[in-house]
Amino acid sequence: MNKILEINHLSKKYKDINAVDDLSFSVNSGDVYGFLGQNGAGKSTTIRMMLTLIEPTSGDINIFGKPLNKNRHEILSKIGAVIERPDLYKYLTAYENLKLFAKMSNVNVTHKLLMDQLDMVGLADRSKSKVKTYSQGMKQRLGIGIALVHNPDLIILDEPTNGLDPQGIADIRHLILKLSTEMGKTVVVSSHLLSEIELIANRMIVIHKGKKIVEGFVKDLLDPSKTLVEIETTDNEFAKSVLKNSAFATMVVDNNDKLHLTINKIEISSLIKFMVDTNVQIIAVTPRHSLEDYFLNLTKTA
Amino acid sequence: MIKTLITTFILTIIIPICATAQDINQIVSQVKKKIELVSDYEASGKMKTNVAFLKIPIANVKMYFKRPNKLKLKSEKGVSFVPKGAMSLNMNNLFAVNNYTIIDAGTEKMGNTLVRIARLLPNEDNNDIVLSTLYIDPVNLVILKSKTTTRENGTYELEMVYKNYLKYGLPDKILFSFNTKDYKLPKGITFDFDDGAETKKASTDLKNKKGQAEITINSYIINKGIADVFFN
Amino acid sequence: MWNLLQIELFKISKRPRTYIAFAAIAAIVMIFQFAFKADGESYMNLMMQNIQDNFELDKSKAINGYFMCYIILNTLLVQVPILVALIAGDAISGEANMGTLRLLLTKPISRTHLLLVKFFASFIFTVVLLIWMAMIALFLSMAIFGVDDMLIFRAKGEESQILQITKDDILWRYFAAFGYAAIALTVIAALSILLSVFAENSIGPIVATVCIVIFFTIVSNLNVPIIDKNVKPYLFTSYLVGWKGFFYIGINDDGQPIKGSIENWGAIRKSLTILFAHIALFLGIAIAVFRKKDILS
Repeated sequence: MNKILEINHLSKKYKDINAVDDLSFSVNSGDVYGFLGQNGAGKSTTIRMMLTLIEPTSGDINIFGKPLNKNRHEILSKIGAVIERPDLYKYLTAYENLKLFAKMSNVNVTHKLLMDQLDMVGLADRSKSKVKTYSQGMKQRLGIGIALVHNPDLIILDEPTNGLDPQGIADIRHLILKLSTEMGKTVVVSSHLLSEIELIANRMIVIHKGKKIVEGFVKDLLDPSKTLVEIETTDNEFAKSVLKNSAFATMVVDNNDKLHLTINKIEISSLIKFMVDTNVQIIAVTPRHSLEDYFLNLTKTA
Repeated sequence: MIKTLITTFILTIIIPICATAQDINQIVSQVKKKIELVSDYEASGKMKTNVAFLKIPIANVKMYFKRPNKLKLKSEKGVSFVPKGAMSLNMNNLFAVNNYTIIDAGTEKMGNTLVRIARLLPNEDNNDIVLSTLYIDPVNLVILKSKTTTRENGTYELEMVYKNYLKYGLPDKILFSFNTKDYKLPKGITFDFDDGAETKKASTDLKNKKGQAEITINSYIINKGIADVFFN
Repeated sequence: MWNLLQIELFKISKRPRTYIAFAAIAAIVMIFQFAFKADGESYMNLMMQNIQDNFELDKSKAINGYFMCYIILNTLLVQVPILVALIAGDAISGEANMGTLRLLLTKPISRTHLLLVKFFASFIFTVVLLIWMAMIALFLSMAIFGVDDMLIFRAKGEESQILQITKDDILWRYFAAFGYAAIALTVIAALSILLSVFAENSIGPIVATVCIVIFFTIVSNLNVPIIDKNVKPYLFTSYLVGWKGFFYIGINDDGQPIKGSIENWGAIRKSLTILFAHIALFLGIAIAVFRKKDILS
């Protein structure tokens, strides 16, 4: 699989706060990659680092196989992005906004291209209206239109459904699916709603307080047959090392201090037996129903 | 013998002196008569103004005069600063007061000319002119210099040089001196640019708040009639 | 770069606030013209206060188009920095405030280029504003009041002077003065852009620019010798009025103005150098900061 985006040990520190803490993940060509985390988890900071808006404290970002910091222009010319609210020039019309950003992306602008683009996001009939007269959903669609006008290979959408009504959310969802399935684009989409990601993404990452909680295929992570189990032991580090050298290795969720495993319920008894046999002192084993429960929990405690 | 000597002395020395030493009243009246030969004129020339705070170019001026006392000095083109006492450039003005007492103030050498000095004291108390002193060339019957002290506008001084229009008693060059206050811009009116240029040292005369206007006349058109509108 | 500049100018031209500046200038100028047409003599009387008794001046000739423009510029160039700040102070912070900055910076444009484009756009705005000003303050005044010799009332150190420039020696001075004013106002634009880099709303940098200009101008004009000597030369606002230098005509030993001359070219050159240095400094810092800035808006 061709890796389009690769992030290695990325960190961003603001004084004492680690907004992003040693984050690593990768996005493959053709993925709709879900970037999940509650508000303040570090999603936006990560996305902004991917778009050179924020300079990382440490770590590397490679996009299209090249380091971002050394190939900024080349890489950015193949990325389309909508970051949070798609704020545009309110005193300009949709057509003017689109034209202006298309020019900035070095697109050979024609009237037809602009109208086709507006048509794709369903705004052709309102192309002459000033953006200040637009609803939030229309602005969002125009934002996406702008992100796509230069036919980018990678599309990054940060919370694209924020503040939209249910119809608006559905429109955006259809658009993302269309981009992926019909146009073969790679999309990174962030959200604080698992339900959103579940509906559109094939792969996903969950981050919390700047750290990666879990990464994988959505169908695996959200498989009801797989239960997330939290194990408390007298020495979690020892337990983790033991498990990582066992048949349970693939089930260990790398989440620094706590010991989490994604496991089929029927295997829990053999897991406990294995740990007892290997002298891991168990204090508690708490099964969770699914990643969803786990994520909801995180959100609740926040 | 002594009687004869005294008589001889009187006849040979005193009488000739008295005979040449005309009565100052007579001289003044002769000068006035000469001036009155000109009933109007239009003069054109140049005016150079020397005032410490005024940096203005030499102006082409026209001077119009009409008896008895109309005089107008104006710049042919452009904006011009005309000293207010310019009215006294009019010689007639010096005699404008009908009722005055003339005092003989003796003689003085001006260049090679021995001038007679006459002081004119108006008899009326409410006259603006307090005192005029005239320095008269008794041979050509023209005023070479005058000092006029006014109640309102300080003291003016005129010096005149005669050449081409001597027979009309009109000067070719007039040096007009007057008092002026130091100019001060109202505070806070301008934000000025300090270009660091040194202020050129003004001559002490200018420092003493004396202004000067030097008018050089090129030509006069005399007694050809001038409409009154020129003086408005 | 040209492409970007076109976009920037297009944006400026589409914004209502741009035209506030033009309308404001037109309004102020026309009020001046109306006031002087109605009662210019009072102003002349004020300027000539204490020498009224000594000199006669044809005031209707003295209040001519050239003189009007000088009076207008004298007042207006103190206020125009506000109008320049209105556009330049908004350059980066306005985009940040609107939320378009993050979108702009995800385009394949270098931040240095973007900032330079913003600067050039502000410069062009300033020049257009000055052309507009020349059109109504100079040419319209010339049409209304006619042309004649021009009087300059000048405070020079402890002394005051009245300079007279003949009418055929004035127009080039205005062109030079407007050129100088463009450079002076570009310093304001550069300062506004610098402040704009730090802010995420446009009011902050605009107000800050205006405050700095007003504060420095007051200090520049305190007329306290110790400040004049030790502080004033280091304030860029002391040089904003340098356009007047073109009207300080050279004087010969006889006290007459020398046609076509300028009293102190050196001072104007020095002022221009200082202004250019400020532009470079402000812009340099702005670029350095902007390149490193995390865009959080």
